[in-house]
Amino acid sequence: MKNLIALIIIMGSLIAQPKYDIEGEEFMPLHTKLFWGEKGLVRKLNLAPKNRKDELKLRIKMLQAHQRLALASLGLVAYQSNLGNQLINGDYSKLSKHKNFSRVSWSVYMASATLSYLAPPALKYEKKVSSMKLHRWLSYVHFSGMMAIPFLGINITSSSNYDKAVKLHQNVAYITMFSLALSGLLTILPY
Amino acid sequence: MKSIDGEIKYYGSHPLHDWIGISKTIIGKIDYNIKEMNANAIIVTPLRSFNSRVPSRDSNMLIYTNAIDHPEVVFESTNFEFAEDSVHIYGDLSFNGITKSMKTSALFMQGDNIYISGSFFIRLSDYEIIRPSFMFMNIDNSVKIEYYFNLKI
Repeated sequence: MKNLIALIIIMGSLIAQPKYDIEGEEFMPLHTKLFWGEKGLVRKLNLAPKNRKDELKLRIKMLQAHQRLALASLGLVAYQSNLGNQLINGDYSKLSKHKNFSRVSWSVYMASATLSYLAPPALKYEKKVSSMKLHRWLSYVHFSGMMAIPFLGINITSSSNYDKAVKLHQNVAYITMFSLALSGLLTILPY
Repeated sequence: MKSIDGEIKYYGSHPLHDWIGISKTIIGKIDYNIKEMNANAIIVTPLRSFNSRVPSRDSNMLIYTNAIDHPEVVFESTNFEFAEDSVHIYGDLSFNGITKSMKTSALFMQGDNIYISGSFFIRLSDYEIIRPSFMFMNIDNSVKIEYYFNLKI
């Protein structure tokens, strides 16, 4: 009987191997397909790990690092927001700090985003909406915001309408921070 | 070996939330001798068949349980002890390439069909499963498994 069990396990492994293609591959995010699809950039440049197992280990490491950096960037963005509000309230001594700190918060955010966007593909994707799918969709909002914010900040000094430029920078920053916080909160939900 | 009507659930737990993964893909062989009140069983469930309603979590589960190398969980009975409406089932559970002996007590009802349902706990560390972490906290080592089988006589 033990031989039968061993045979079942071996047969299962052999039969299952072709299934470690990705389930629901048609629902893979576009950015993942571009880098890790069958003709993706990472594969074409021969940068992919030797086998699927190593790819999945890399995915785990990248997403764990993404989590940690994302939490850090949320804190940094919140602090930046606080500095920005102090500037708006007339404390111009914070200007240099706000400018310098923007580089730190932007860099940490972009490192976190890179880890997530460039992670190897999962084993399973589905069409239905889940909290992780919403998390991904929100990332497009706060990523766009983080790309725009530095330019909007520079625009304040060169704009002919100072108040309008400040308001635009502030509003985009609030939307970015809110979507970043909501994105983080979604990861805690069970569904 | 053939498809068995039934369901197997696992209950995962993390300080931030709990979840349930369900599989209805069960194949196996259960031989039951009504007169002599003895039985033997082999139950096989592919890990890929478990659905916790979040694809990314299911995907992570497959990675942490080494489903590429060990795609199935296999239970093989070694002994059945029947009581009036229950049965103690002894057997070997194979998971992540490791086989451990275990015991589970189940409700046993016989009518037109045979209905068996029960539960047991496993510890992920017993099967050398590295526990995933989220927000710097690992999931619980202890996982409850619930099952029911509806067998045609």
